[in-house]
Amino acid sequence: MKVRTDRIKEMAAAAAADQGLHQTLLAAAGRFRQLRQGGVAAFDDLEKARDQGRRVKERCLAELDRLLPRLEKQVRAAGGRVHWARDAAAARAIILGLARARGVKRVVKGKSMMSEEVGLNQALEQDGLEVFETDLGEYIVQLAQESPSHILAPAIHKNKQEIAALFADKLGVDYTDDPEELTRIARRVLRQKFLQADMGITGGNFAIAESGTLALFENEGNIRMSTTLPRLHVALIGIEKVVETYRDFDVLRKLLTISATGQKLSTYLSLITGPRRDGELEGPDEFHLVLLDNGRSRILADPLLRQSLYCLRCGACLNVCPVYQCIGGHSYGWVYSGPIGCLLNTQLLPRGQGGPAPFACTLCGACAAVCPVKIDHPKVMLHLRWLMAEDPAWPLPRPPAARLGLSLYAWLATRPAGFRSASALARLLAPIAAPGGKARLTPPAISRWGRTRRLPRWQRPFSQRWPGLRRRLGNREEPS
Amino acid sequence: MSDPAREAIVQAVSAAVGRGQPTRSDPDTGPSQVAWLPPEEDWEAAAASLQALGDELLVIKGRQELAAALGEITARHQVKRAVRWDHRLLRRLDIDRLLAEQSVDCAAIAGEQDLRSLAAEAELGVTALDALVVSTGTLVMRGGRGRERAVSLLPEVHLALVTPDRRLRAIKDLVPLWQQWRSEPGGPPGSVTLVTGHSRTADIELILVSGVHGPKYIYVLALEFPWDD
Repeated sequence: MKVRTDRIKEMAAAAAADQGLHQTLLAAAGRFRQLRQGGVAAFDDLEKARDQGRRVKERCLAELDRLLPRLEKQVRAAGGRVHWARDAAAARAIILGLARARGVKRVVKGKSMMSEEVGLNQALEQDGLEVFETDLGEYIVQLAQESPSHILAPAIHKNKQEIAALFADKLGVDYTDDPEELTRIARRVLRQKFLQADMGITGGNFAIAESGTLALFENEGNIRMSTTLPRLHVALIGIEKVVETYRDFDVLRKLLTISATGQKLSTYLSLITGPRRDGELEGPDEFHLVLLDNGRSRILADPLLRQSLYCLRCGACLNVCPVYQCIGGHSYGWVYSGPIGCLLNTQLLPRGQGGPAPFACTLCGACAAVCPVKIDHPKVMLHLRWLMAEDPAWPLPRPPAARLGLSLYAWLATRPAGFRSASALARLLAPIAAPGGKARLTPPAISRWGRTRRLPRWQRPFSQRWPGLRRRLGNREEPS
Repeated sequence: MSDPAREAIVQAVSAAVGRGQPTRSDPDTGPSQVAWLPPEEDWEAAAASLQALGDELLVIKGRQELAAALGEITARHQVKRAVRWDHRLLRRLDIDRLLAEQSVDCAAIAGEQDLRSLAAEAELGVTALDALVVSTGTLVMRGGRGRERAVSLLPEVHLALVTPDRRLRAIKDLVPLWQQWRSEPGGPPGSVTLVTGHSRTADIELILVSGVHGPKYIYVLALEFPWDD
């Protein structure tokens, strides 16, 4: 997938100005929040479950060097093969190599953010393979030659009329904007693809080390098709998806579905351990698990950033994020969007390429409040800002005047007498510089910054104002 | 095992988590007891869960009721062809004959190609459950020879039979069952499928549509009679 993270500003401005998109995003996020809320209301002690989930991820990542070989051993014992990919190019090469060696012509895919991350579709198509996304939303997005805009609802940015026109154009069917009918058309078209495909490619929600089992959640059935019908199944997962036991898996699976759609369990959960066994009539002849690092071991090394890898990809943080709801998924410029996207894009892409997304955050904390594994997005976001500001590899605006201003502030803030004098001066000048609290006379170096911000009203310190406030409050009656 | 990428990743992870050399212990979590519900418990909770998902559980008290239920379901969905698991429960109930009485062709699966074409053409797939989770209405099916996944996936209607001794209260109660299967000879089953409701999507404007890729209708027949006579 093309990296356009450096264009977040212009893409966000365009998206924010698109009223139709804005309404769609608000409605979608609202609906997902409602679904989650419904599930959470019936959930027994969510806080306890979130703490448990956090602990499971903490432990499994702390033990990851032990769990990865254990998973490998179990997958091999079940007749599967494990491949290790250090980066996106290696993952593409492994999967392309498998496809070439086995004469694969047609590929069906289950929804996978990982495959977007490594740019798999383009690589397979360039090699002459026919690749079909089979999740309905992904299929729509693929037909439109776009990219997904939401982890759970990839085509959420398109309305039914657009989809109807797309189907009529690309599939040669009669125009209909009835979702039921559009779904039936997709079912008919994709059913043939499933039956003809040589290779099924999926991601994986979890990999259970104690049994070598891949766990896949879905509501449509396309992942079941992709893992049952083709003679080859390739699953591509990040190394952070490994959990140790069935019990760990059980803790996380309930958090995942409740947080995503409010479901106690998704319609389908497939637990896959290796390829078909001797004498069986179905299932792939070969099962390949590709374990991708692609920067994850680097993230793992930082104790604060590590929590970015706890993410279960439930999408709950997107649906509460005021920024995401305004600018949509595409504005983030790469695979992941919303609060978790700000964290992952910045860290997974090569240093200096992840773009300024962590700065496009209000730090309101709504994401952290709903995260099923208690990722503290704002804290990580601030840490990333600091890292980026300190590292010249990031193309951030660093005007000398701003640097000078911050140094001056740092100097003043550590000298109480100087700070008091400066504050008194600011109070005196405020009515002229910022009438009504709106900055007017901002110096050119920070004028862009000042354009979208209101300056605070300069007042005497609270400690000095308190005696007067207390007298005024004391005159009121105490609430009974 | 001399894959340089493997060594590099494991070493990088090991260094990241602050360990010198990866430890290689394999702590085993042995299976605990599976908490099957008592067979005499009623089916109300399970029926309510399935109903909430838009599906149906029918309690069947005898062979005549079974024949009647099959007749009603096959008529409702205009079933002409069915495909089924080669499962002891289904053989003992003589499902093929009961379906034939409804003019439904239910041929045995001979081989791989046969399975694909039969499952792709059949309107009805018949399976037997390894477990039914009553609080969520979840159907649990282990894959294998005679227990093909395609049977519960390709046809538009899925009919699952379950006996009173195969019920669990909650999803978490499946953990000991998975552990038990894992410790059996041959290790964990190649596939275990959990089905909670019929296939659905809301990918177009978040409008819920049933039956995207998998079955649109699910019926669970709860067998409350001695079928093994």
